[in-house]
Amino acid sequence: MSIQQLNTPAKTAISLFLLFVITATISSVILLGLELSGQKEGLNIPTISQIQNKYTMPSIVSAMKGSMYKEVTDDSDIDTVHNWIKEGSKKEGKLYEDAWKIIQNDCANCHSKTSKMSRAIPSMPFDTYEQVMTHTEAGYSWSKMSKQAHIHMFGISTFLILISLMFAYTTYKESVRSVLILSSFGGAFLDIFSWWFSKFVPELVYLIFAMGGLMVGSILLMSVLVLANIWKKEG
Amino acid sequence: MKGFSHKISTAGLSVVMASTMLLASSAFAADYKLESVKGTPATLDAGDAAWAKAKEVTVPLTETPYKPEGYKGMAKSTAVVKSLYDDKNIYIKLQYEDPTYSVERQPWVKQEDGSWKQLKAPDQTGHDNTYYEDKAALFWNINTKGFEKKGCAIACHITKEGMNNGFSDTSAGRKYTNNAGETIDMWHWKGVRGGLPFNQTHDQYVDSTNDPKLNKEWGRKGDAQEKGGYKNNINEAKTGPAFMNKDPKDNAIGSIKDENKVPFVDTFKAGDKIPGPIVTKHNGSAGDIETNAVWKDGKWTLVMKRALVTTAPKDVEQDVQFSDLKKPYFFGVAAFDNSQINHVFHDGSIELRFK
Repeated sequence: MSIQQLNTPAKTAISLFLLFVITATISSVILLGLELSGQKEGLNIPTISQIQNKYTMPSIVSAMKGSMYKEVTDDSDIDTVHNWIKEGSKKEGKLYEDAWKIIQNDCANCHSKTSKMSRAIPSMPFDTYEQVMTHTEAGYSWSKMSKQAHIHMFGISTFLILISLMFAYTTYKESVRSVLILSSFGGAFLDIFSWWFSKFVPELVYLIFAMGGLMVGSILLMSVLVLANIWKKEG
Repeated sequence: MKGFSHKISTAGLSVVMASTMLLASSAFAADYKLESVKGTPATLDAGDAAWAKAKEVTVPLTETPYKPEGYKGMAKSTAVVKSLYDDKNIYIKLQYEDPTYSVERQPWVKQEDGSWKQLKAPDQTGHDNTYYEDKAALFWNINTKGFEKKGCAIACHITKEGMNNGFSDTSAGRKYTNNAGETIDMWHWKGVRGGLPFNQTHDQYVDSTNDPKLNKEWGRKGDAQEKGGYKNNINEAKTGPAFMNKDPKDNAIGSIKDENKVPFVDTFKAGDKIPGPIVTKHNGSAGDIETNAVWKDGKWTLVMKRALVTTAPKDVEQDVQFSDLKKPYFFGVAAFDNSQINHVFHDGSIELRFK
């Protein structure tokens, strides 16, 4: 049995589904690029350095280097905050005073429980030392990881199984089908796995880059190949 | 058949890649850039022929510093800015959308019982956004670190949980720079208090004063002057206006010029209004900026003129000096719709270069 034997309505439904998947996949890459680069528009392919910031650095430093970069007065301010955290995030001393001033000037106008600015984020306040401390842990916390991992793994596996089954019933060589299906699932698993453990093994950020790329590439390629194959007349 | 399938696959991938590249091309949109071109308008009329050759930059004003309770003014606008310059002066033409013409700044109104009431409606921060005036401001960087990247926001310090820089404060926020010695030039056009009466923009500046005991307006200060400004038109008993316009037609601009004021004599009927502020033209450095302003069809159009280089003793720290025409100058724009401190502004800064 091949996918080409389906009736026209089924082929139409699958084709439209795949177009949605392609669009969604590109959108997710755009979103990731915007978040990591701090840009406001366009496709910004994440760099190793940006990925390293996100997964191995304290989230406040990662944000100052990425999505919140435009709010940072000076690049040296990021180092000051990072050094304060590396030195134990103490609530005393010059390092603390400098870092606190930077956080209040650059972040807390919006990150405040009482802020009414048009881009206020009262749900993530930096009003007190204790509130800032919740964003100083390096990399993903157990809580954040569990949340991110289960949402992504449930979501990705759901549409991957559909695309994989469609691709499995195309007329391409079995080896091609197997490799791409394995690549997509394997890429997704290793990508998510690396999110968590890169804070312990920083070299894993390369795996995030490679496996993320492999997953996205496999999904796009399988989708396009299914689209090309499904409308071909049976040989 | 395999060849056909391969071609289709390649075409599909090409479409995906082309879309990707198309998206990538818009990744690094330029900041707002304005070219000031050589030209001298014969007058400060917005329709002067000299403006035809000036290029414009459009800047969306989408941000606000707070949300006044019950505010009915605009939450966003769009500014269109042009610039000309000659050997002596720089000219800025600023046009922005403001659907309402607001010139009634806390006027007195005669009541049915014969008493007078000054209309005021302070919001949760004590500022008026109902009985006020339209205003606009240009913020020019002088030497403030981070202005090029953050624009006006570099000097914006929002009050959090009633505290600002360790001081109890009821205002939504305060303007001051982050480091001693840093200043920003503020061209503050105030419709009723100088803009319409004197064709003038109040030349002010912002410094790093972050203690209200040192200055009640914190970092916001007026340039040096011997006279100029406004005072509330109120009698000693605080029961009514002290003065009125010699010619009632002058009430149209919402204020009383000091030279036109005459002692208040109550011959009015219920509902009649007397302007709230008595205004005096700024002299000295505070009066550096001549401005013609017209509101028409839901838009304010301001044409400002200032010397490229100002020479008063404190102008180096209070005024942006366009002394090197090869250098970029960074500024920001804000518009106040019938509002004391709430304003619409933009992200980042605008880069001006002389061509």
